[in-house]
Amino acid sequence: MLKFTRHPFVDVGAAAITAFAGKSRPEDLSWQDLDEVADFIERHYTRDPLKSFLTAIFPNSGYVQPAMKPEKFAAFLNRYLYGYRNEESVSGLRCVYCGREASVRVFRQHVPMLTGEGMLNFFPGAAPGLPVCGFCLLCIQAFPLGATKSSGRTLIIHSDDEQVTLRAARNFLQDNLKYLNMHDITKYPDQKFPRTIFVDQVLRISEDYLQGQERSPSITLYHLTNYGTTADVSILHLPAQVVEFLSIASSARFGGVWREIVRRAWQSVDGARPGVARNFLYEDLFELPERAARFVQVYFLRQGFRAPVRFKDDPRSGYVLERELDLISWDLTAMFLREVMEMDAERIRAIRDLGDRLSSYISRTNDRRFFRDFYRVDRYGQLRGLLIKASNAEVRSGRSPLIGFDEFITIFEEGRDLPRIDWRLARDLVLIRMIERLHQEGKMLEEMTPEAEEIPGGEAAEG
Amino acid sequence: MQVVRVEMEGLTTSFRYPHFMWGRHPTFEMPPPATIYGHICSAVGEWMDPIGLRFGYTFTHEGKGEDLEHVHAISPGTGRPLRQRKRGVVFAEPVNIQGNVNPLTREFLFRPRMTLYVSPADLAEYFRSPRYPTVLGRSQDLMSYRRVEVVDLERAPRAYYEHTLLPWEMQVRVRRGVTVLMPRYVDYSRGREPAFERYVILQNRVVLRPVEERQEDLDEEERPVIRYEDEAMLHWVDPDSPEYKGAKRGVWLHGFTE
Repeated sequence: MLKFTRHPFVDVGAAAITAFAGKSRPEDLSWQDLDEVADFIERHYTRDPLKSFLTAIFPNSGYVQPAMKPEKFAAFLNRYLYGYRNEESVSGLRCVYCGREASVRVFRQHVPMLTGEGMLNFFPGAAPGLPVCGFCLLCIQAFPLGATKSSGRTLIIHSDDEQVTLRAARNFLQDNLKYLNMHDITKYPDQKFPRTIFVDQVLRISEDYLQGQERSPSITLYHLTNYGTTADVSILHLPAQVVEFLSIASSARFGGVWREIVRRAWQSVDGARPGVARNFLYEDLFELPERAARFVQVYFLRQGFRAPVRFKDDPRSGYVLERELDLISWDLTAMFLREVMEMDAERIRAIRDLGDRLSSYISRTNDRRFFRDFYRVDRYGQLRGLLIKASNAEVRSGRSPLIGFDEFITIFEEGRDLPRIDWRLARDLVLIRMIERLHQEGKMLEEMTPEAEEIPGGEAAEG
Repeated sequence: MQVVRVEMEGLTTSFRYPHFMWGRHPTFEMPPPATIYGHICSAVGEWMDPIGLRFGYTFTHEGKGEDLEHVHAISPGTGRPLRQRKRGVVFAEPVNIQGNVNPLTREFLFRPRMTLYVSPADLAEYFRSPRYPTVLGRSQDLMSYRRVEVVDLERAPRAYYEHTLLPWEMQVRVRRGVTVLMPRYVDYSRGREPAFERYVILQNRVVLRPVEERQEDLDEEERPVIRYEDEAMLHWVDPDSPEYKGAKRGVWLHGFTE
């Protein structure tokens, strides 16, 4: 009867019905399960708090039209909610979602973001409406149960891994049923910051499901409203590589450090949690891989970030390296480089080895000035000069140079004398390894680090 | 395998998600197969039998923007002259179609560039002299063909893929990218009935090599080695593409109906 079709509305609806019935797959649902969820919809969609929520999803539908006469409302339910029981068909047309014989043509009041009744645009053969079968239509009517309200819109999570879709819908359904059981609630609580809610859900699913899987899925957020003249949809993807990074970062190996990095990225307000506060790290994931260098600087190197004024209570401006040395982790950073930035294993190895040698050099010589200069260097020529000078000093002392020609090219240059566009990132990565090693050896980094300096932010950085 | 390789570029393009019709028209980041089918048929000048027709591409753009457009939302008229209250007849002819102008946000991709590979190669002449105006996306999104050649794709045990569309089954191998549901084919013989399929949009470069070659990297990355039944897969590669880590650029040839 029901099945996943790969379309977000139908799949989230099928997942919500499956969770509602306590089953594990849509294929396991019985007629009785469908009748029970349809009956639930009939009882709850026409009264608050769901009714007010549904005005932004199914405007002008029978659920939210107080003026609709009882007989017309009954016909509406029979056709669009209980349509799976009927044997109506639209001659010769198949359901656009599942390929079964279509039973009805639907419009914007039945499926969000379609055109209104009678409008000819976007349909073939001057035949308005989308042909859909009763089963898929039931799923679409049910999809708000597997959604949450965020910033006045509907938020759903969909994935090419059906278990992810199912688990996200189940989590939202549990919250929704809780609200429905509260007698004094007339409106759904509106939660802010959809990106934070999205990543929080992905991490919850990662902990109890994704970490045991061989492959990482791609996961998509749909944040939409079908309301009046303001109908709109935002589609945000978490690509498979970012999901994989999140899964590995949350695993036992990195979990301690990662959780603390995440904790310190929450908006500084009382009771910070998804729905009431923004997590800046979660939100910055959507800038990847384009802004990966800044991500590394802020979250892995713990450099302060001067946020745009419109972002209040941004904790990133308070990041100070010397206070957060316990969060510097080369292994976590290297995993980020591999998974998200797709950096060559050879270059990662070269950066790590250089970091090791420089930390040994500083440890041995106590050359604090070199550390401070390397930390602060802003021009490529200065960086090269610093490394050459320190290398020469080592050679004069009868030791090997700190960096070889091939290694230098691999880390910092495209070709001879042509710096890589990301040489500052490479410098930051070497610093991360150096700092981690020096901290492990108990060196007095507090005295070595320069005064806290903030990275200039910008409107574009926040998206 | 001989294929036609067509290099093209334009100023803007947009590939609408078909199920979002009102309020906003979001765009896919790459052209769906059904769009490519229409493009090929436009060059040929008629609806071709899709069986045996195959395509692959690399597609890039320089950014995504959005535009506020007016949509002429049309609906059937009454068939009677148009009358307005207190003003009598304002349009004496029977009104069969009427409409309103509505604003709508449409996303678009800026400066699209595509290298399209099409098999069979004997379609080359159509691309050298296309029957209809060359567009990709909307009807106003004009494209220019910069080069049309017949090339021999080669089989290789290793290849890199980037800025391309792969079948969803490849997601487990590349472990990268975004999965999308796209229109694969629109059947004009059945009232423009659409068929949909899942694909992976892959932007960043991924090198695919035989497992024994990957072993060293996998050890370094501490990932489990995953073996597949068809491990010894061969890739179609473009021999003229730049070499990277001993591999040429792979061209995944998709069908429209299977």
